[in-house]
Amino acid sequence: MTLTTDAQTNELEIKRYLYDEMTDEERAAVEEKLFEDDELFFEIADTENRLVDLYAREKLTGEELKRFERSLEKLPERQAKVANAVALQALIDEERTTPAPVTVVVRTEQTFWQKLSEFFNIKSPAFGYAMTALVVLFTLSSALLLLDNRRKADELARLQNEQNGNQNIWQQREQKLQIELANLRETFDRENQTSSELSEQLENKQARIEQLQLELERIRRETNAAPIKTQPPSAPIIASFFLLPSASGRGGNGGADTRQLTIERATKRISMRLALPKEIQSNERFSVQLNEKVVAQNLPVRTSSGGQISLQVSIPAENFAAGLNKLAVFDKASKEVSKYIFNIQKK
Amino acid sequence: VSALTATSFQLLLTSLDTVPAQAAEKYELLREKLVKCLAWKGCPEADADALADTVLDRVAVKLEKGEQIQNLKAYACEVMRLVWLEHLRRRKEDAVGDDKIPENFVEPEIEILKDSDVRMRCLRKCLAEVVPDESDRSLIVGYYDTEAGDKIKTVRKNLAEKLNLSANTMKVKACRIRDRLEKCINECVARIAAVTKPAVSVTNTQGGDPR
Repeated sequence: MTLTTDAQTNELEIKRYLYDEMTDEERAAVEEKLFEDDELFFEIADTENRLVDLYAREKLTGEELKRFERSLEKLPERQAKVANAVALQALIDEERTTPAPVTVVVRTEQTFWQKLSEFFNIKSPAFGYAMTALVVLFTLSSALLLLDNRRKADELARLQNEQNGNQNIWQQREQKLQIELANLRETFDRENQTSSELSEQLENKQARIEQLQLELERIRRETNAAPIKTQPPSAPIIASFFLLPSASGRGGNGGADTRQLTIERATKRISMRLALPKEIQSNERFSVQLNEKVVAQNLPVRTSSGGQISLQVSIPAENFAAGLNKLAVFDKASKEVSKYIFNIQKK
Repeated sequence: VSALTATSFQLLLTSLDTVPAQAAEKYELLREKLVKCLAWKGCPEADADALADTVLDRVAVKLEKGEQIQNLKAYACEVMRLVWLEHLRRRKEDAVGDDKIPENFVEPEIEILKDSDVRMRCLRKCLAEVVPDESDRSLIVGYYDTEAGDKIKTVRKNLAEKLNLSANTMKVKACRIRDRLEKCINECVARIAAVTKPAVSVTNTQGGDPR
């Protein structure tokens, strides 16, 4: 191990350590050093965070990307770090305050006096005298207007003085209202937080209810107990599938390689994860059609840490035809980007 | 291996520093290094915590037995390697005889663990819990903003000045907050997965082969 005071050499060695590319002896030497040297320890931790963030933003390329991905296979902990980094970077994007660009327009216009001077730069003397007379007239009128304005300004000042007493009262009232508003905001924020916690608890409970219901169904089936026909399940049963795009020209006619999806008759919703072609950009949004009818719009793409791009859509089971079905994904320009042909069988 | 006692733990702390507050700080840092080092060896987070404690316990017991340890940090590092090797051996032994679980193209429960919506929700929740301080939040958001690209050094320098911290202190602080945050997120995601996982595995059987 050759950790030195040279930052560049250090970074190369730190990366070799983090990518698990060192021999046992080299690794042992780094470990000994980082236990002694706090600065080196945090430098390594910081480098790992930086690499993970760059990978999450898809900014690692070439050999660096390959080395990072190889390390992901060896280090399970780093996979969770990548998933966390994706979330963190998304949050940073949301919170980044980009000040509005200030556009400075430099005007090269001439001043009033330059224009006036040019305006009078006319060869005809008669026209020049006429213009001069006009300007003199204009100047006199302006002086009169100024005097009148001054008189009105004095009057206004007097009236404002009278109003000052009232204004103080209004200012006090305004301050009071602002305090009340701040208190209300604080209460609202508090309640909002409690509300989100309650929603999460509710979601967990609902998931638990679904789980118990499914478990109950399973036990009934296993023990061959008489099914309770009068009591339909109160919570919807969800079936989940992962679909790969059907290749064009095959599988689209219910042929031998069309997917067979078997669901129970009681199934209320079908949740589908639709794998998208690799060339799709992760920031695009899509709509989904089932048998030519739009069932979801403006769906964001989900990217798994393995780079698999997909869409998640949940559709009521009644919308599916018994037999052949076609799901199609369309981009914003209404162009079909992928389709999924499958047979639904209800048992 | 003898168990850890109050005396051996006290001896360990005193060996790190005679001033109690500083000893506690050094103990935490040593533990932090052990956990990270184990993770960089490929140890999962849940195991790394337990193994780090095993290392510290063994070092403490050694001290109680009256053995002289010249360099406590180097010794802890050595014990960590042994403990890791023991753990690997145990894992290998446990794996022998296990039936291979057939691999599926998609494992829905794993998909749920990776679900970005769940993780994002956990991140927001954990930020409120773990990073309640507004300046710490600005530190996390500013320090880890990789969009700055090549200008990251300048961005971080400005951030350190704004937060009145030295560059190194800021790095240490950012690393520690991020560790706490990630630990909280992982626990939160695991909690949600624990609630939803059985339901998913049951529902998946309805669809048959996911391929």
